[in-house]
This record gives sequence, structure tokens and C-alpha cells, in this order.
Amino acid sequence: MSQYVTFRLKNQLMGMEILLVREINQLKESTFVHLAPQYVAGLINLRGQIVTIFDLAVRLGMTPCTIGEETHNIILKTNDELSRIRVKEERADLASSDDMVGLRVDSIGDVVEFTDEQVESIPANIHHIDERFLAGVVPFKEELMFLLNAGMLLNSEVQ
Amino acid sequence: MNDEDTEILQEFILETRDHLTEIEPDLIQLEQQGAEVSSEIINRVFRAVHSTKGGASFLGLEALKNFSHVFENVLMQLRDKKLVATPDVVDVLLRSVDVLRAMIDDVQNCDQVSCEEETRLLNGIISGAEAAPAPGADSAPSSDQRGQRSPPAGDPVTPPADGVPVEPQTTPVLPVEELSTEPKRAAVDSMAGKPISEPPSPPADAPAPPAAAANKMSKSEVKETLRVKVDLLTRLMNMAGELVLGRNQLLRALDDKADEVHGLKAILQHVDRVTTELQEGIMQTRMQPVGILFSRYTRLVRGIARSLGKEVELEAEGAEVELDKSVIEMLADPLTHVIRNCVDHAIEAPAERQQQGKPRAGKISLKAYHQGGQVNIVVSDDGRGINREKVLQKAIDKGIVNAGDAAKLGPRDIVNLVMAPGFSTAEKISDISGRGVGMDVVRTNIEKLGGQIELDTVEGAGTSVMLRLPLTLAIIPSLVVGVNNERFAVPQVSIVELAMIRAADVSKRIELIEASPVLRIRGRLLPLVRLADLLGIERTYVDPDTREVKPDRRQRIADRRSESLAPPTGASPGTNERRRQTDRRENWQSDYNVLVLRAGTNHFGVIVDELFDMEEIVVKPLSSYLKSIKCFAGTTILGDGRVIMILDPGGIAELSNLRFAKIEDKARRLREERDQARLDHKSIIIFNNADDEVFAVPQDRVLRLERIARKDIAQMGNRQFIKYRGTGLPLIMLNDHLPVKPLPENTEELFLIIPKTHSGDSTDHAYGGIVASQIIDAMDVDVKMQQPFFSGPGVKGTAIIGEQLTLFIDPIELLEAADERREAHP
Repeated sequence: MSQYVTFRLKNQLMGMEILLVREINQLKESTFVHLAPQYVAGLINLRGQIVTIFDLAVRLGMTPCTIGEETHNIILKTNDELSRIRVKEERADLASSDDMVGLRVDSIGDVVEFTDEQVESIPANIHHIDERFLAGVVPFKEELMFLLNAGMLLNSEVQ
Repeated sequence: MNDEDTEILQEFILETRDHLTEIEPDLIQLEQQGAEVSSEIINRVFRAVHSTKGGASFLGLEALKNFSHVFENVLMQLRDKKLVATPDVVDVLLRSVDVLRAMIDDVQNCDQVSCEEETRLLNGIISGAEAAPAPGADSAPSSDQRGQRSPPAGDPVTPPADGVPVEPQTTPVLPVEELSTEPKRAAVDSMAGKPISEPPSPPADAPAPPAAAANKMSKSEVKETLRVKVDLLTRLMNMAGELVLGRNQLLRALDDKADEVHGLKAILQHVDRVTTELQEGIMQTRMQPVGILFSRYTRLVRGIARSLGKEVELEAEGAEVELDKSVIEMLADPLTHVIRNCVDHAIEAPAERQQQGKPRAGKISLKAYHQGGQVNIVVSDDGRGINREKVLQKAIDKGIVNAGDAAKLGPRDIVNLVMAPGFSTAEKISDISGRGVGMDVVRTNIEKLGGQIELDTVEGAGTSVMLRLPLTLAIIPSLVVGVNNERFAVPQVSIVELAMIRAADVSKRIELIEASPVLRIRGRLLPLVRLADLLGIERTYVDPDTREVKPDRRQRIADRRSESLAPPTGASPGTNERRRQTDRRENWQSDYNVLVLRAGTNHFGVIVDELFDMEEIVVKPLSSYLKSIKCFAGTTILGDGRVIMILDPGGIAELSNLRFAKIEDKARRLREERDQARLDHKSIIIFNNADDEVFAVPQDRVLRLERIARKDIAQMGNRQFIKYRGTGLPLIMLNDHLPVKPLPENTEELFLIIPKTHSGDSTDHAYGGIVASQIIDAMDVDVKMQQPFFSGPGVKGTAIIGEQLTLFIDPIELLEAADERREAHP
């Protein structure tokens, strides 16, 4: 059984495994970094630590997010913070980034639980999203929820 | 391996690394002591190796355990005085330390590290020593006061294989490690070659439980230390920074309520003080003594000196001076290079030194001290020094300086040419006795960490390299600049100067060389970049009338105003009316703020919109997603909580493709052209006699300018005088000596130009003054002098300056001519 934080991006339901999530906030004041890769939306100051905010939509190959009332940042744990969890949960597959990263999403939903068996492979007809960044899909309340692959998503070498 | 085991292993690795670092200087000291080996030092080395063995056995690291065992056997021979620490023995021991280090570095695969050769050498030493037991081997080491006896000579060390698990001496599971002294003290003492005063602790070979040993330590001498992860310190530092921010906001918010609420003021002051102290304290946790670094060089120097057949002593002073951990880390390589150069190139062979009347052994001294909020590290040697002529010749050959500029260089400038990029390449520069190899890399590295480097030398007597370093990299003074509502920090160390170019001067000061803008500043040409363009920020300006922010459409920096600038749409006719009166060209909004930055040895200008304050900023590294952007060095958080980027001058230069070499070329060509046209660059004073006649005198021929009143002029015969500093000063009227108009009648206030005396003596004694009706200007000009229309005393020529025909006069010649004339016609 794994728990997922659900959220919406361009109306698409998505999920991020909760073990990877450090916190969720609504900080909107970000500093734009010129010449940065397009998916970097900016930098925010999270209690004295600098967090690189990803425009998740751009990272997944869509048009940029528009910031609204419900826009949230999902701040992820760093690899360092994950090292203990990997051992404790016996989840050597967990991976994120060495830097603090937040994902900008359109809105936040509930936390849901799935078994590994419920997770299906990515259907062939998905074209609007870069499938390298997906870990799988789960049918959920008549929708298809996309589960993100954080290790790939946060790998700065994957363009 | 479970979590706890991993932690124990980590702890073991860290400790063993420390041990290995500490015993290196000890081994070298053993060599110096020879037969009179101090049991204190040998015991310390022994304990370190024994702990390694114990830990390795506990953790099941067979190869490491076995090798330390052999190592330990040799140390026992030394301790029992069966063996003398000759240089050859110490060589083997040092090699063995390297093996241990290699094993520790890859501890899981320590059995892969090849150690057969070293094991054979160590065993060879042991069998040699046993074959010929040294005299006095069985005399009990009386200096050993530790209450516990070393095993009798020849007693085999408790082999780990005997089934008794050897308890590591410093138990890895114990997080609090009780060190005999503070690490820095240890470093200081070992550097200075003094024996370390050490509280009794169990000899390594006795399997005494650590707890008992701890009890025996006299508490007064023991300082408890704790290993803390650097990550945690960084996090604490971030939080302290955040706390400071919160405190500032709190103080501001409560400022006007402080009097209303009873006792609030005192509380705020308390919070204020504690916050500051907390931040300072956390900063201090990152500080480390430079001794950590210095101690490495003992071995380095010994190694190189031995391989070259030289004798070199290394002295260190100020090992207790502390620097931020990151500065120390970044300093290691450049400093190693400097010291290596000392031994390699500077110190002569013993025979050569004796010939020159120097002691056989060369001396290198390392000295660290505080000065003006910075730390200076000086590396000096008493070697052969650097030959300036050869350096200069090489610099000219390599095109680093041209012959013309070379003449102007001071002795110190010449020596520092060895650090210019391209001065020394892979090619050895043994012909230039000294230390130049790879110094440009050293300089780059030192500058990268915000430091400066300078060389000085006395040929035949030695060279010294002075490094000036910031205490910490974490906090650096920076200038905050603005471009279109965005802010950036520029480290102060890279700012050479700030220049403002008035809108009216733009076309005069900025020109294009092969389509790249350059700034003319004091006769130099600097490449110019607009930060907004570099970063792809839309340029804007604030309309002086409507206060609206509008896109700036000037295409090129040298453009003062675009031809196509349309009147703002929807603006009232009144606005247009005013626009015509105050053309934006003349307005301050069109001025350029130029930061002159330093990247290596090159300077260049960066145009920004606004300059804000200097701030002490805390540098935070760039995340991996931003590292590929060249022009940023890091990020920081301003006092108001906003995140801004720190600019990297080197990266900006690279990114904007500044063609320093091309511009240098062009500048040189311009200079040559100017020389060909016999253009003279002069600092001149321009003055009037009659209103429409303009004269100029060179500033360097003038002692001073004085203001006088016409009524004070006294007439004596055909001579005119004025009372000046207690004597009568003869006055020279230009029209008495040259065919020019006399002074205008109506001026009451006149000026005196007092020339220097020709003898050039420095006393400011005045012999005469040239009377002028008005001093117009003092300026630097490039003039093309023409033949004058008439000749006369002191007349040098004419030139057009500011559309005025100007007569150049040498005031000294004029004064002398006037003197002669007076004498001829009294």
C-alpha cells in the first residue's frame, strides 16, 4: 500500500507519493531566474532555505501554469532526507533531488491509497505528457490518475 | 547492513581519517628525533594505528585489520628502541599511511587495495630490527608515567585472530568523543614541534576499557567536542538567518508600540541581542584553524625535498588562526602549489646554498595572521628569488605586455606578471629562477574565493607570496544593483569602480569596436555589456512626465535616443509640449550606471539601471538546475526576505563573449596612431588674458594658482609686483612679452599662474607669476599641436581645443625669458 498526494494540473488528476513530500504551501512570491531552463519557474525563500520551483506543466511538456487562487507548491524531500526513509520503508527505489525542489500545481486534492497491483502501465495514447516522467496510471473515480516519477522529473540531466 | 551499522562504519571512517592526518607530522618528527625518540609521539602514533586495527576487526574489515597489524609491529620495534626511525624507515611508514588511507577511502573494498609491497617492506624492517636488537632495548621506558606497562620487548601484539574481540579504543557507538586536547591545539603544537601536553590515556596495546580511561582523565584539561554533520550546521545557519529576518520585521512592526506596552522595549532588546549572538555563534561553528592545512605540508615538503636531494625546513606560525571550512577547503590546492613551487624552484641545492653563504637547509615559512577583517597567509622562502629582467623579457616575448607599457611597470608589478594568464604553460621555466609555474591558476583560484594574491621577491634572498583571504565565504559584502525592478548582488571584491556616464557624454565616452560597445575611461577602453540584454530582460525607463514604465527602445548603447521613438500614444498635448522642452536626452533617466568589474586580469563595464546599498549577504549555492547558467555565482536572501541572484563577473565576461584581446589590440592601435599623429595627451590649464584670446599651460609645469585683486598690484618703474607670502613677487603680463592683447580694463579680480622653478627643486618658492583674467578650465586633452603664428618666449604651438584656437605656453620658459629681459633692461 502506498499513499499519494493528489493534485490537478491543467485539469488532469495526478499523484505524487507522499513519502517524497516534505510540505505543501502557497508561497507565490518567487524570483524568476533568467537564462534558467524553461521548467524552472523561480526560486522561493522557504524559512531561509532556497527552493527551486518547477513549473510542472512545462516540465511535463505542456504550456506554462497560470497562477491562481488555488496554485500550490508541493515541496519535495531531498535525497538526503530520503536516505533514512529508504532504509526504514525498504524502498530503495525512492529518489528525488540533492536540492530542495517544489512543484507548482494548479490545485491540491486528497491523500489516497493504492496497492501496487492497482497501478497500471502508461496507456499508449498519452501524448500531451512526457511519459518518461510518469511512474504509472491508476483508474480513480472514473478518471485516470497519473502518478509521477520523481527521480526522473527532478533529474537535472533529463531535458 | 542496518542503519546503526552504517552509522558506526561512517564514524569509524571519519575518525580514522583524522588519526591518519594527525600521525603524518608525528612520523616526520620521529625522523628528526632519530635515536632520541620521544615515547609520547610514538605512543600517539601507536594508538592511532591500534584504534584503526581494533575498529577494522570489529567491523570485519580483514585487509585493513591485517595491514594495520603489520604497521603496528614496526611501531612496537620503534617504541622499544629496537629500531631507529631513519629516513628510509619513515618513508615506508608514510607509504603505509597512504595505504591505510586508500583502504579507508573505499572501505567496503579495502581488500582490493594493493599493499603487498608495503607489507613486504614493513616485514623487512621488522626482521632487520629483530636480527640486530638495538642497545638499551630492554631498559624500561622510564618516561612512561601512565601506570600501565607496555608489554615486554618482543612480546607479540595481541593478535586479533586469537578470538578476543578487540574493542576499538574510541568506541564508534559513543557519539561524544573525548579528545585529549582541542584539535586545533593539537595541530598548533605538532606544527611548532613542541611535545603535546597530553593527559594520561591508556596505551593502545592494553585492552583497557575506554570508560576506565575516561575516568582517569583530569577533567580540567579535557574539552568535550562533538561531531556534527555539516549539513546540520548549514541548516542551522539558514534558520539563524531566518531568525534575524524575523527579528528585523518584529522590531519594525513593534517600533511604535514599544512605549505603549510596559516592558516591551526590554524584551525586544533581549531578543535582538540573543538573535545576533546566536547567529555569530553558529557562524563560528564553521570556523576551522588553518593548522589543519599547514600540517599537511610538512609531509609534502619533506617528500619533494627528499626526491630532489634538497634540505628544506618548514616553519609555521599562526596555525590557530581560523577560517571558514569552505575557505580552507578551497585554499588547499592553491597553497599546495605555492609551497611545491618553493621547494621545486626557489630553494637551491645544499651545495649551491653553501657556496652563497646560506645555511645548507632552505627555510620555508608559513605565517597566518589577521589584518583588517581578513586573514593573511604569507609563504616566504630564503631561496634564489625571481629575476625581474627575465620575467619582463618573457612577458614581452609572450605578448603579455608591450615594450612601451613595460617601461612604466614598477618592480612589484613586474614580479606579479608571473601570475598573468599565459605567462607559464606546461613548459618548465627553469631559466627564470623562481617560482612561476602555474601561478595563473593559483591566482584564479584565490580570486574565486574572494581573495587576493601578491608576490614580492629579492633576487638571491627569497620570495614571498602573500594571500589575503576573506574569513568566510558564507558572508560577503556585496553591492545590490537593479535592472528593471529586478535586483542582483555583485560581490564587492570584483568591483573595481562605479562610473556614471551622463546622457550628454554617452556619444563621447562610448564607441563601437567591431560592433561591440566599449567605454572610454581615463584613456583605457573597456568592453561594455548591458546586464538587461545579457539576461534577456526587457529594458524599460520611467517616463519623466507620466512616471509610466515604458520599454526602452534604444538599440545600441551608444545611441542616445532612438530615431523611431514615437510620442507616447494617448498622451495629452501638454505632455508632448513638455517633452520638447526637456528632451529625455538631457534627463537623468538616460544616464548610464556602469559597474567596472574585474574578471581575472581583465576589466569590463556592466550597465545597470540602479545602484542600491552595500549589504552583507549570505551566499547560498546554486541548485543543480541553475549551474549551467554561467553568469550567476549563487543566490542569497535579502533583508526583506526576497531571493536574489549573485552575479559572477567571470561568467558574465564569458557569456557576453567579451573580446578582451581584440579590444586591447584596438586600443594599442589607437595609441600607435595617436603617436604617429604626434598627438599629445596633456593635462592643461586653460585661461584668458583678453576675453577672445585663449591660452593653455601644462599642469605639470604649474606650482599653484592664486586669486588676486587688481588693486593690490604695485608698480615700480616698468615692473609690477604683488605682495605674496611676505615678499614681492614679480608679475608677468603676457602682452609685455607676446604680441597679444592686454588684460581687460574692467576686471577687479585676477588670477596668478605660478610656474614651478626650472631647477625642479621641490620647495614651493615662487619666482614670478603670470597674470590671467580668467581661469577657464583644467582638463585632459589629446591635442595635435601646430606651429604657432608667431614666435616668442615660451610659445610652444597652437591647437584647437573646444573650437577655440589656443596658444600653448611653457610658463617656466616664459618666466626665465622675463627674468633675462629685466636684467638686460633694468
